[in-house]
Amino acid sequence: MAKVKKDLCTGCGLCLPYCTVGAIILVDGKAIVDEDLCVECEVCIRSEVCPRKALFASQLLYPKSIKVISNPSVTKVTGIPGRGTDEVKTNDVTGRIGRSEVGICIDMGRPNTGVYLRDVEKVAKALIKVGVKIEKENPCTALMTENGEFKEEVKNLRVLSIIIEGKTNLENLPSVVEALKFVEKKVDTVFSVGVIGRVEPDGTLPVLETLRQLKIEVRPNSKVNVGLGRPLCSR
Amino acid sequence: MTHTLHRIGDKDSLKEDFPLLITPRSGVNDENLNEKLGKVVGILDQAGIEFWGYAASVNTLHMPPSEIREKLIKHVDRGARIRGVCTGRDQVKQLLTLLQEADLGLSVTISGLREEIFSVCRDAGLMPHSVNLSLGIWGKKKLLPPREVLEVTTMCGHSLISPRLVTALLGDIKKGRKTPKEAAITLAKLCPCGVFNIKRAEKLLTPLSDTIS
Repeated sequence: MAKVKKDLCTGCGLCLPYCTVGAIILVDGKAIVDEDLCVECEVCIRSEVCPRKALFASQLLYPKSIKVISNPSVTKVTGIPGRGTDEVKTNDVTGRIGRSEVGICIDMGRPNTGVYLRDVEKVAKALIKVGVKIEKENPCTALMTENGEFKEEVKNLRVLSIIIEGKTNLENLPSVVEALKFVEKKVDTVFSVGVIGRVEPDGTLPVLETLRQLKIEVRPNSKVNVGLGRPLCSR
Repeated sequence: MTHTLHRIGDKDSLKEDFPLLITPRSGVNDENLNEKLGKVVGILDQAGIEFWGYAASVNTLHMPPSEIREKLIKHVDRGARIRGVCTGRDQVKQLLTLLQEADLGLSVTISGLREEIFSVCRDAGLMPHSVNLSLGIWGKKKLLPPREVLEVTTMCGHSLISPRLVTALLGDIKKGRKTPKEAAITLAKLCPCGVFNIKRAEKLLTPLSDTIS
């Protein structure tokens, strides 16, 4: 975990604003890292902000080692490489999300809020309850059981962000939206929602129409797979 | 991972902000990957893309592009990706045209204003395959920093840019300790993926520094 070598710290406070969650504070003229608040993103260390190199990473033991998932440069924290699946990125060659399906991506704790895994559990369970099939190749999935239950020892760990991913049939999207509307009131954090859909040969996007019918605000931003991957999957 | 999807900003600002991801799929199109990614680096240079990163571990502010290219040609991790950011529609079109000509078979995603991207794809003769739509932020929104700070911080979708740092840098700009560009570069160094938009950040920070007390 991120720690401060007290003998090197001059208490200048330069590192404080770099902390993504406000876990570095000054006590008696020295910087200290609040162990519970710290999400182990290691921005304070990688930024090299400390002129005396007083910040360093010490080894984390399980279950706290799970928190390193907050650092995108670290892979294989949970036995699943990377931080998520290929989401929409390689859908042109995998066909993971087919024409009658929608992908669901819930970025828990983003932006800039952080999240306890107990809140991730609430959202995962809500999605599973309405029939969302959770993606297996995902570090978040590796932490939970098939019904979305997290191990007791990790529930109270806080990470900077983590992604729940799954898919369901397009016709089930209204139930998913209702589930998210319900569970958003139960969590002590924020989450950003992404919904993946296939583009039809005529250029239309059926999922967009479904969301409009549901009167859900779709932001003008999207992430578009432009179809350059080969061999192209037509599923 | 959807870290380039949920950027916040008005349409005029987002018209200058198009993160790109070039992604191999293990076992599908990752043969000779080092060679392919080496070609991608050349294409980024041709398209004038200044800020990009490799494998979420090194970006062009940490290491010159030529050194990153050399490094990845010698050794490439399976599944390693290149990410970067285009700062305008014309640059996206040029990039897609060059990638299409190179026919590398790697998947390419562009994030940003959907209508703009679809329009560029039409111009480049491409039909988008699939789309991830942003439904925005849900949950306890009172925990969020102010919108004008989020416009800057969401350019690192991994949330590695602290809102407190943005505020501190605004203070530095106001006091003349840093230029908006220097502040933008300080922030970009924290985005290992290389998708932070330095040009847009500079534009956002300039007027914002006048509002801080």
